[in-house]
Amino acid sequence: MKGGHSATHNMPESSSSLPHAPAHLPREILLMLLESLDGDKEALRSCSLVCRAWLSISRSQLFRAIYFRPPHTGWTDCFVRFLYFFLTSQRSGSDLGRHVEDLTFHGGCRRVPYLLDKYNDLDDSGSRDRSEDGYVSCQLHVLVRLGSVFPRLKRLALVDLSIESRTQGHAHDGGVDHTIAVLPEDRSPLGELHIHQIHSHMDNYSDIFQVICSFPEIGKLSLGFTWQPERLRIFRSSEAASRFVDETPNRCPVIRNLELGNTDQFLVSICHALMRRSGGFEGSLHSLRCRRGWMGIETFRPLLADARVHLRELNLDLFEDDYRDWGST
Amino acid sequence: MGDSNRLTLVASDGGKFVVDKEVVQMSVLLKNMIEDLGETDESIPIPNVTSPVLTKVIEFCENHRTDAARTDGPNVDGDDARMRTAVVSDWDRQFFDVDQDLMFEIIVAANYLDIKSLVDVGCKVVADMIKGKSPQEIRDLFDIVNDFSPEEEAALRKENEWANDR
Repeated sequence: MKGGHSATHNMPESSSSLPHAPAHLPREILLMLLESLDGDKEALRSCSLVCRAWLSISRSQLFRAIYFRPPHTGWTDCFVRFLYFFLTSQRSGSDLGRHVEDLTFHGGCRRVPYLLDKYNDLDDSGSRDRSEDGYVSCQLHVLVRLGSVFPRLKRLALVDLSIESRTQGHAHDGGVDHTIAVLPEDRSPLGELHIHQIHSHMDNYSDIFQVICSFPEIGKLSLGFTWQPERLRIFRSSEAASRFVDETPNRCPVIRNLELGNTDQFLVSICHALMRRSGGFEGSLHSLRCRRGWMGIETFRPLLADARVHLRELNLDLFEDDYRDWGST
Repeated sequence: MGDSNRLTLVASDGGKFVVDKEVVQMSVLLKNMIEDLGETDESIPIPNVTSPVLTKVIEFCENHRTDAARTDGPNVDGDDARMRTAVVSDWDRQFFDVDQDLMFEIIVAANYLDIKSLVDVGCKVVADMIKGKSPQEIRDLFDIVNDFSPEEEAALRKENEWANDR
């Protein structure tokens, strides 16, 4: 054997018994084996069903990152079942929610108002989650206190959801509120919160800020509301944004990095208010990034005037001219 | 006084191996032990590792001795165990082309001796064996007894459906 080592005596020909057969591997070794599957969900599903010894460890990997995208009809019902599943597992002792670190809710809504005429064929009369004007309601307020079900959540993404005015209500959402309300309040910091493609025809974004404010600290907050056509944009004024101050809780989370997408005056205004209330202008906000800004630099002046002292990174990606050209056509 | 660049490892079954210190230091456990002992002629016992397994471990370390510098990198002892990005070479695959019992004993020994690259490569090889297989195929592959009832397995399968990727 090369390298200068030499066996001398008492060296058996084969290894001893089988203390480390796969079914009885030490837990840490089995965990490393499953981590080497690189999150391959099909492989992890198979592993979880191999034997009892593999079940718990396989599921710790299987449920680590979850992407929730139900059919576009029945979003709320499906969401309730989703939460109920994790609550039940909490009570039964398996507590699968504790494994979840990365959670994406995708509304799957494709029926924003300006596309209605193109998607009339999707007007399913059997939908229970559709309001009169065609939005698919997601009842975003049920997301508050998610951290109780998923205590190790590091990243939460809410994508392509619509918000319905709570005053309109739904017959079947009362139980949802009750189910969530009995849980303890979330107090865990969140690494990343992404909220994108949010539709609200009533400018009622309070549910979004309820979600944001349910965390004491957010490493990176990424916000992007869906662009609205001009006929709806008139509702999204800075005046409407100021209403948020009255609608959100007094306690705002500490936010380290803020990223805005599809930026318009409305979004800049409400983020300005949010930062002011969260202490972002007193040193906690490190980075501000803006992608696809529809507005000119003037829109940002009040925010930047407050933020510039402590800001370490500023990146504004605006295409005001493109927007003007496109808007005139 | 013997060669100061070499030392003797003693396996659990008494097998003795005279090895270059540079090779042995791929093991964080042994590296720390050598530092604690200083210059010595004493043999180092490896009570949890048999001779056949230690032979393979040393073979791996000798082959990867030029990689040893990597063990001083910042990620070696990093907490983020999910960063298992081991690249498995043809030599590594051939190295692990042994019976399964020995393969798992090498991985367990590498974990005990704290040889990250050997653990990672071993886990990657096993992971590749698992990918694309059904639960029953994995059981057959590793000779594992199914201790779930059909009803339990069906219920677990249904629960797993909530773990969607997209």
